[in-house]
Amino acid sequence: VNDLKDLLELALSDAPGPGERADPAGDLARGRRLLRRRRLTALAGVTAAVLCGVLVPLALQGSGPAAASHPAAAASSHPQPSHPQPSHLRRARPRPVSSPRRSSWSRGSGRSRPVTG
Amino acid sequence: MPRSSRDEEFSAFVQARRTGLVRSACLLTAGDTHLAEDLVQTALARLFVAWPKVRRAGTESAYVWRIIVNAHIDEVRRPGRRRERHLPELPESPAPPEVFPDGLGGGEVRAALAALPPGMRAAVVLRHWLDLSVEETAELLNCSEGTVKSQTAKAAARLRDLLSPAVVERTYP
Repeated sequence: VNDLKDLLELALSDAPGPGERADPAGDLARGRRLLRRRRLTALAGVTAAVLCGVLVPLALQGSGPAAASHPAAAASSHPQPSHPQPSHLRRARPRPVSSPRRSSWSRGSGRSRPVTG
Repeated sequence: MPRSSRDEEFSAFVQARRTGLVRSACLLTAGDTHLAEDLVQTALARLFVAWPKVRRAGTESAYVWRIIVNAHIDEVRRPGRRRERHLPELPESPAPPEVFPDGLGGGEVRAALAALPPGMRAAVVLRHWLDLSVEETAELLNCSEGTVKSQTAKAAARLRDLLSPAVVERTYP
């Protein structure tokens, strides 16, 4: 095996060649088409971004006065705290006080059983 | 359509370089001229899009080669391509094959090139066919200089291994 460059030249020597003509018109047309497509894509992207930027705030603004026109519906009968209370400040709800059940243990029988009453 | 200076410059570049690009891309594709033509068309179309910037930087050739190499690697990795069948020999030869003094033919060299991985083949073509430096090759392939050196050395050894039996067989039939 000789020099790599000679080897590569040999690989091309009897390969079907591309032809001697180098017509740039086809490449120029393909390049222009690709350029036009990219410009259109970029334009579409910018348009979509602008529309999103304009329409979303408009939609949000539109929903604002509608909610403000019905204050009664917005107000609730049981006001809730605006933010949750921390757990260490939360108190356990007081349980209803009930009379304690008295129980006495009967003696003498083999089994120990509480007798209520 | 009126021709701008961009069109004029691009046309002059294509006129001067296209044939050489397709021939070199043929090495990259191991003799597949249709794929080489596709790669060059893709690269030139993208070059036209980026022409003002590339022209200003004066890196037309490097830009085109980067696109060709990347497009080739993408093409080879494409899943649909794995189902295609590769023939070791060309179905027909348009001209009597030229041979080396040691009896080696172009078809055998192309088959040996096809046996190399695409990245290794690209390193060989850029480094030994286009005579780019190690730094330029590394920049084009987006790898380190050490990788370029090791890839070209491995490729040379592999080609030697692949082609030696053919040479021995022809020299001592």
